[in-house]
Amino acid sequence: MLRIYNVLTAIIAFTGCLSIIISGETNPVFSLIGLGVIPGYYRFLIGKRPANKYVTGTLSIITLLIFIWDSIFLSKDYFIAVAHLTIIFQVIKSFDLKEPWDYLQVYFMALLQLIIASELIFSIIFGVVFIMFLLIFVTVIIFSHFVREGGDIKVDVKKPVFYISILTILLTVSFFISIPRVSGGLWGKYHQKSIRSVGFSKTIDFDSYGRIMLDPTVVMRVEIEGRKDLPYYWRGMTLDYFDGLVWENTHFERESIFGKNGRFVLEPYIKDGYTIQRIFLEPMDNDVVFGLSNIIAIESRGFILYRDVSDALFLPEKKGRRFQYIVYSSKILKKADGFLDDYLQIPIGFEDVKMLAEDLTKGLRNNHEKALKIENYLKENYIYSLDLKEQDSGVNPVKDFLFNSKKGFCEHYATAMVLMLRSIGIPSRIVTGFAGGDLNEYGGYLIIRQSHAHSWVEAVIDGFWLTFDPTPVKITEKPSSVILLIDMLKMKWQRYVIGYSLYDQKKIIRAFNVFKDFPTIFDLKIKSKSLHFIIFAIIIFSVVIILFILYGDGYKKRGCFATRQYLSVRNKLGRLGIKVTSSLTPNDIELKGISRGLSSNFSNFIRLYQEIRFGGRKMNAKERLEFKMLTRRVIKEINSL
Amino acid sequence: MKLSREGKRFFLTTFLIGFAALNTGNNLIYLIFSLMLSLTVLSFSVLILNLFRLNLKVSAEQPAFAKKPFNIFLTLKNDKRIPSYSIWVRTTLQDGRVYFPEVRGNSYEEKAMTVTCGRRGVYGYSDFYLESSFPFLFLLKWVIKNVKGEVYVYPEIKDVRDFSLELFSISQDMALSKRYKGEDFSFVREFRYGDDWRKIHWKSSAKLSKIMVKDSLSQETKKITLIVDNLEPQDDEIFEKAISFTASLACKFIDEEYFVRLVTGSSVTSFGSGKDHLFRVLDELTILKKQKTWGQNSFVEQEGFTILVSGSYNSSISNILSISDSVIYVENI
Repeated sequence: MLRIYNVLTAIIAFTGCLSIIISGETNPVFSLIGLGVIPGYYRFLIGKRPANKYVTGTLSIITLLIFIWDSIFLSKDYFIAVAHLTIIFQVIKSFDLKEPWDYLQVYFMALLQLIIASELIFSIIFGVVFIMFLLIFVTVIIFSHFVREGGDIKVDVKKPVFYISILTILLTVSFFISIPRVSGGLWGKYHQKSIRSVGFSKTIDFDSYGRIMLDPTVVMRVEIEGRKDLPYYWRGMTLDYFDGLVWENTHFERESIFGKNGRFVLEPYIKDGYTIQRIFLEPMDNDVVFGLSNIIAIESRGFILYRDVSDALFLPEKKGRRFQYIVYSSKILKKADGFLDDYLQIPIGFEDVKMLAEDLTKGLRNNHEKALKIENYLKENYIYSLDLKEQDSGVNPVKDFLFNSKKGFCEHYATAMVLMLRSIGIPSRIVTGFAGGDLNEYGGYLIIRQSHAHSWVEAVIDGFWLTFDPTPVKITEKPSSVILLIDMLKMKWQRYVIGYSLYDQKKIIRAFNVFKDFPTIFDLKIKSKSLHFIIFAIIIFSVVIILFILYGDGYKKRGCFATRQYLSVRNKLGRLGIKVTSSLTPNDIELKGISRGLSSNFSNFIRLYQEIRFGGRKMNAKERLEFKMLTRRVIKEINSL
Repeated sequence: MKLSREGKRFFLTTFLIGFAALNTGNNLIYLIFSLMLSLTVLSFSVLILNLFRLNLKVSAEQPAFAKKPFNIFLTLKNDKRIPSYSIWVRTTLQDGRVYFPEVRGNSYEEKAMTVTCGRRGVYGYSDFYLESSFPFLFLLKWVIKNVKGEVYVYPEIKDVRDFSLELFSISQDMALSKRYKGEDFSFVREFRYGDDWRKIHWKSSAKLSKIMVKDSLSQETKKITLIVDNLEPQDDEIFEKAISFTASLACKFIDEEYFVRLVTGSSVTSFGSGKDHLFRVLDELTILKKQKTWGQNSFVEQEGFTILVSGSYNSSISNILSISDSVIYVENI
């Protein structure tokens, strides 16, 4: 049993280090140091003596110095530095396992590593590590129980370990589902890296040429209900001003929209007249909210959203963490109201574009036909290519696309169409976002990748904003079944673990019909500094109360008069060469004391102590004094020997 | 139920993780927090279940003598279907405890607890504690099992060979001088516990339908009266020594097939031999207490050889009794 226990201790230490290393956020040098647990535990398992205490002590001090240097200069992140610190301490501890408490230190450190890892990785790998950790942790603490209580007694622990592990998993799931969620974020910062957008951006700059990569990184996953008209356009924001090289959004004014019970209603809507999209957005380096056109409502945690005049939606801050929300998009077209002149702006020097547009639309009766004509013209006569040669200076990339190379990507197509529409008096704008997505048949959702980033056109036709996409359809390779299956697991992990929220809890409760009106729990997002202090004070107070509950009772018991006298005598026994351990009973101590030449005073003292401590004997003041005197006599006797 | 050191640290860690989950809103920390909570719940509920429907039976090894280890047999019966693990049985009789690593469902395990009592006396036991911290060491729970009983711890038996040899010879001489002429040297009596089986008189046994033994000497020649001085005042330690010495003499004489009678200030036993009689004598000595006056019933006529065991010369017993053939003051031993 002892051997299995030791092996499990080694595995749990290794799992702890592994959980941090696989996050990829740690410095490779520290990750390599983490492998030191392997020789450390190998030595331990083959029964070699622990390393010299001076060596491990010195290494520990050096590690603390490295930690300071790491947090200030190397990683410049206290959190990552702590992760590095735990790795090195696990390695040092693997060479220095002696006392039972050392084992517990290993478990608690592994737990700490798991917590750190939870902040660094959101991947499903964490789930695998977590399950592994749970099973080993349960097993090892059951083993530690038997090792401490029964030594190396043979007990068949397979059954209790199995059943308790199963129960632990079930209870963990139950607690995970039922613990009320608040969005939090009181202190600290977020440590997971955001995806740097490659395809999608808030501006379009033709001047800065860069090779566009078909990056397969997943940006978001979407479960969709109610609309089947492909392709899907995941609208991000619009760009209205073009200076000849760069598209920008000049509508900086944003309207604040406050949510009620996590629901932001943008427009009045009728029942069933909308498409529901449950969107799981990966961490991104922008604040844009994506969804199908004509968003009328959003359900999300948080209490405020912003909307510009083009109905683009924004969060109060960049999406540093995974973000999950539900979008309701109306199937009814949005009416174009307000000042539309901004959407007719054309930079100087694009007269030839106007001529081309007029030529194309000559004889057509209405704006819709004209827009369709231009869209089809671009689709049919231009070649989609991401592999473009660098432009000579002085050559406008849009004109080059239209009149010379006739090769370009979505931004060229969309820009060309907007300029052509505007030149014939149709208000229009560029829309940036994502288009399409890979359908995952196993999970019934769409995978949107960086490579799905797209630009298209919105134009005012008969008083409504209509969507046009002049870019020819790209033929993309369908991901393999294995990739889709893995992605489905990732999606489930993200949906039901990472993205599990108060909304889901409400839904579960409603499903059981427990409350008709579920009590509202507002998201905890405290801005005021004074409130921070209040919460901090409450937490400190709670900690003090808990510590008092945990240790106060013990203090009282330890403070018992007879016990204090007994401990004072027991502590003196070291003088007689008696090694007093916690497992020695008073009777053992009595026998040892007598064998070292202590008189019957000592026996009487032990007997009295046991009567008071265990026999419930009460002492009056006189007896207390006598007991105290007896203690003094015994101590005097010990000192004299 | 109380928290162990590990439990205190674990629950403090759980609290901190709970706070971290609340602070970050990170569901993975909620997941770890859920794990900690589930371990908390299991450590509580499994522990209660572990000690549920456990019954204890206790029996003590007899005879038990002071300062000599003896066993208390503990039978732990598990009346539920699932097994119980890692149970300590602790008794208030002494600070000892016995470990039961596993008691299978609807089954029982038996273990012996070795106990040493420093003094003679009747030790009552009633409360046995069944303790366990299974499965995680975080909590310690105990249930009290009220199993009433008592153990007679006889006085310490010492080696009295030197004294007994001397006393034997004196008693033999006296017995021979007192023997009546014409009396038989042997007689047949009923079998007593401790008698030698080889001495069974089969003919008489068959005739009387009970086991009879043939004794070699007459009762008169092998009668010994042991008188214990239990008059106050006496030093506790010396009094105990006197009792222990008397018990040792009784053992030795009965072992040598003497008929022994015990006289104390409060009681008088009849003459007898064999193990049964020895235990009767030891029972009396076990519960013997000091008293102020010598009881009226305890003034006995001298029969056989009489030995008075007293604590010291100062005892007032010599003013009361003057029938002893030999007086032993244990103070001098």
